[in-house]
Amino acid sequence: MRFAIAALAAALLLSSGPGRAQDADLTPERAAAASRDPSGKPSRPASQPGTSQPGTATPKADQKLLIDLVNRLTRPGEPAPPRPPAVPQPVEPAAPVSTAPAPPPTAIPPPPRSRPGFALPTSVAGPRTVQPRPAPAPQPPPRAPVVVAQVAPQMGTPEPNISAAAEPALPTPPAPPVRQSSAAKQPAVPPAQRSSSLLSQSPWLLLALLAAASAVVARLTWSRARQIARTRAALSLEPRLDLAQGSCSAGSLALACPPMTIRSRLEFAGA
Amino acid sequence: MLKSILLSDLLPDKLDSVADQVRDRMCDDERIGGIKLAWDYIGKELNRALKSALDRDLLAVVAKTWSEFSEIAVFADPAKHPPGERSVVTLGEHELKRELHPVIAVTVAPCPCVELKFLLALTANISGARLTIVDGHIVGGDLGELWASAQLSYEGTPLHAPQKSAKVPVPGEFAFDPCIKIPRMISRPVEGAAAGG
Repeated sequence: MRFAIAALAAALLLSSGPGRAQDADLTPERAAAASRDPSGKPSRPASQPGTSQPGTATPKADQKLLIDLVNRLTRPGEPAPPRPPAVPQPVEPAAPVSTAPAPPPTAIPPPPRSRPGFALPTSVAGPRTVQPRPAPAPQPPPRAPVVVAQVAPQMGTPEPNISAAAEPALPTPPAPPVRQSSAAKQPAVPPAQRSSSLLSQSPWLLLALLAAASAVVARLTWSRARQIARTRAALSLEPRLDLAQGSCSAGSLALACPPMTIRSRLEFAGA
Repeated sequence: MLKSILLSDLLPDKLDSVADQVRDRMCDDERIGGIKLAWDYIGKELNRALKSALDRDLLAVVAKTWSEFSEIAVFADPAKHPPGERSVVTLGEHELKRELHPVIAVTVAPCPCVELKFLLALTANISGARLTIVDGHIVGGDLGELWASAQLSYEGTPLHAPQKSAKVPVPGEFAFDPCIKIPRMISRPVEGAAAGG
């Protein structure tokens, strides 16, 4: 169901055209850069100028957006990946790339920083994107670039990894998906299995539990025996029953026949 | 010879409520209530003591009851029945009721003795009996049928449901050892023709 929704959303986004998708992907920096753009044309993502294929540049931005959207739809439990860092990071290598002497002509005009006349605005914009780089370094890298790195080969768009060549720190992003996937798998393990695995891994824990239980039972038995011994020592019982006491009654007690009396004596003949 | 039946055989094996009743009674004394005693153990011991107090032959108790009625008591008069005379008395079908009071003196070490007085209500149905009386004593006899029931209670509270004994096979011959002495002065009238009391 989620995939169906994702596919539907992707189709809608693709049909809506590159311009709208790009507008939706605009960041404040990009908006500022676009406002500074003298041509008034919507500025392309900074990562795209490196691509020498003009036809694929626009769909690539949409693909990123799509992938992001698909990731959100297919992984609702995970927090939404920070979108802004996803775009600026590919921008960062663009700055050194932009200094390349011959940027290939694209259908979309390259950003003005590649031109010597607009070096100042780009140089000003450069540090702005570079500054946040040390901050996210200790944090786990955002997921978005990783997804792009995974999906880009699937799309079959040959893209020279200039950013990877420029910065050695960028190739590290493939590691986070492993962590994220393992973190996502952890809640799937049932607690009973985890506890059983814990017990199986630590037989000493089981032994300790058994020892504690036996100690408790022994203590209870000992206290019980002590209580009984104390009671036995203090207790003295003396039963008696006097048959002469107590009332009695008889219903219809009567002699069934006259009593028979036998008197016997021994007589001596000489007496 | 007739197999004797004990009064304790008329009681159930376990008297669970004895311990509770006695505990309530004894814990009125603060000194006993302050001691941590194993009351279930005391209950078992009381049960045993009761059984030992009631380890009496049922026929002896019945004969003792017979001896208190005028029909039998007359044979204790030496003027009418001189020594050496052997009398045979035949009784018809009748029912005997007898109340017995087993008493257990309980002492818990630092406290004074407490006497617990129980009541055993015995009912015996006898189809007929023939008694042999010699020198003012019931020495034995033979029996038609006998069945009895008993209920033990403490301070008016029954401790169990009435339990009946099996019927004694007929005919049964019995002898008392020691013999049941017939009291001379006591003569109880019989209910109906003569009420008993």
